[in-house]
Amino acid sequence: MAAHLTNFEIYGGEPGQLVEFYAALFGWRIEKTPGIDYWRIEVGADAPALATGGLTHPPGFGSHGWLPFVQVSSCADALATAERLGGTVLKERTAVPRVAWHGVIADPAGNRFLVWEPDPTAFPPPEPD
Amino acid sequence: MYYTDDSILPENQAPLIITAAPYGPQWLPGDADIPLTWDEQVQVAVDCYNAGATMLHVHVRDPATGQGSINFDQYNYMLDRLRTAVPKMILQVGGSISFAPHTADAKAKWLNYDTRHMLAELEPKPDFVTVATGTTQWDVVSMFTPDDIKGTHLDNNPAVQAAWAGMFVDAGPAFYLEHLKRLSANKIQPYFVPAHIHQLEIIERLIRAGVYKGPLNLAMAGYGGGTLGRNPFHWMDFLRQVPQGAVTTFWSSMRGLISLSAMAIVLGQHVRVGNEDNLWGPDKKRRSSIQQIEGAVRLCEEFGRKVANADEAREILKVGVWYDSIEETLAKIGLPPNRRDGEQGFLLWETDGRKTVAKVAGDSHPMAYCMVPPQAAKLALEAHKAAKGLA
Repeated sequence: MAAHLTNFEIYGGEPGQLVEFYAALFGWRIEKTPGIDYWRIEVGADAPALATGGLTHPPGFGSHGWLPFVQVSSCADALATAERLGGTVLKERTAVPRVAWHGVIADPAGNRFLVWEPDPTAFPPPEPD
Repeated sequence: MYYTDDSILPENQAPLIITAAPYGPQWLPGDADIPLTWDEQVQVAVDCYNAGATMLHVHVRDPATGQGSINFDQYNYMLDRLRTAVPKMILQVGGSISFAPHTADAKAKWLNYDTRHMLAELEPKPDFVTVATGTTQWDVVSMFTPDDIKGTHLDNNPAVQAAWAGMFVDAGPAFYLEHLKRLSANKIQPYFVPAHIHQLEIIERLIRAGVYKGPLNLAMAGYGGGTLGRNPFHWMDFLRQVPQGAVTTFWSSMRGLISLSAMAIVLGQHVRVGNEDNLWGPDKKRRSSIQQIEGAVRLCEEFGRKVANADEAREILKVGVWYDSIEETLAKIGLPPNRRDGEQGFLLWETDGRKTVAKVAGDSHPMAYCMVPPQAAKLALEAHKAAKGLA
């Protein structure tokens, strides 16, 4: 399976308070996405890899530290393969609408990473309200 | 609703208020023309307004997840953008939402039904929040035909159909008594959505008891499956019992909505269209929300009835109007006054507005209760005997 690191996320209970920290530490450009508690991080135009990132609330599966995103050809296959190899699926296949499918895996040692399958048709199933 | 000989002539009817419901929370992008990004969600409101809709039924979709938003701040953000983009449009927020508190303070504060009562705290305030009065099954798929869901994710998908078939609206008195109190306190008008005549009776009791003192705006909700179906006699019987001073909109689903919208227009009532209710034209071809509004406008023009502009719609619905007393409310709505010392329509009781423990009803539960008298009844009986010197 072809896979390469694409971007990352940083988590905090008050994510907005981390903006200044990282902006000052690394000189990143960090801007809030309107209407959503998510801050887009631009590492720099000439950065060769991991050039983009995000800053938001801690995810439901619990995570300290940054979360690397690994681009794969099939999120579903990656989750299934990881489980077969002794990993744990922390977040099932989930849509980022019109962008990608993603899931979160812990390797057998507990290291966490996100697998990312770009798909412009990705969308979550509606639920009766 | 009372009709004289000339009531069905268009010049004697109020201009038609078209409510747009373009956010289709039940659909996927491949199913219907649903907006996702904030810009798309705002633009569709602008397009609906320009096409002739003066009221907007608001659901918010979280652009980051694609799912219906349960984020209070996102609702406020969306309402703010809508107020800027379509300042004259009447905003009616769908009341089925339960917000998810996402901060420690909110989690401590929003308990139980508070996640629904928070609709009363939205800022900027919407003009209306829909309010259900009575817990009801809303098996919306029961009235669908295979053609209705053709090409959607419900097509040949029994598991998803079953999920929608199991939908019900939880709206007992512990909810609506407190909800109406909070909406009234914050001057957000309720938009009642009775699913059948007996929920209209509940609304009248609430008004007679003074729980709500304002204009009566309501939708007759005809989605089948526990709510009103499509039998025109049932619609007419329901409409006959709506007070003369109320303003009524017909809500239904799929192509049945087209026929019922025609009925509503001819009868001087109002319509709601859009992909939340219907995906089709009369020719069984897909219609966007905007095309459905244009269809309602055409139908109205053919019949000779005027389509309301925003100022007229606000006047018809009495947006922002409140009454000072039960008597004034009854008179303005066109209901007979309460009889002095008579039945005032509702046995009021104190509620903290929180969910009560569900009681399972059996075939003969009153008998079962009678066989073993509750402790309270036993104590009351003993006290009564003691007072009478019988103990």
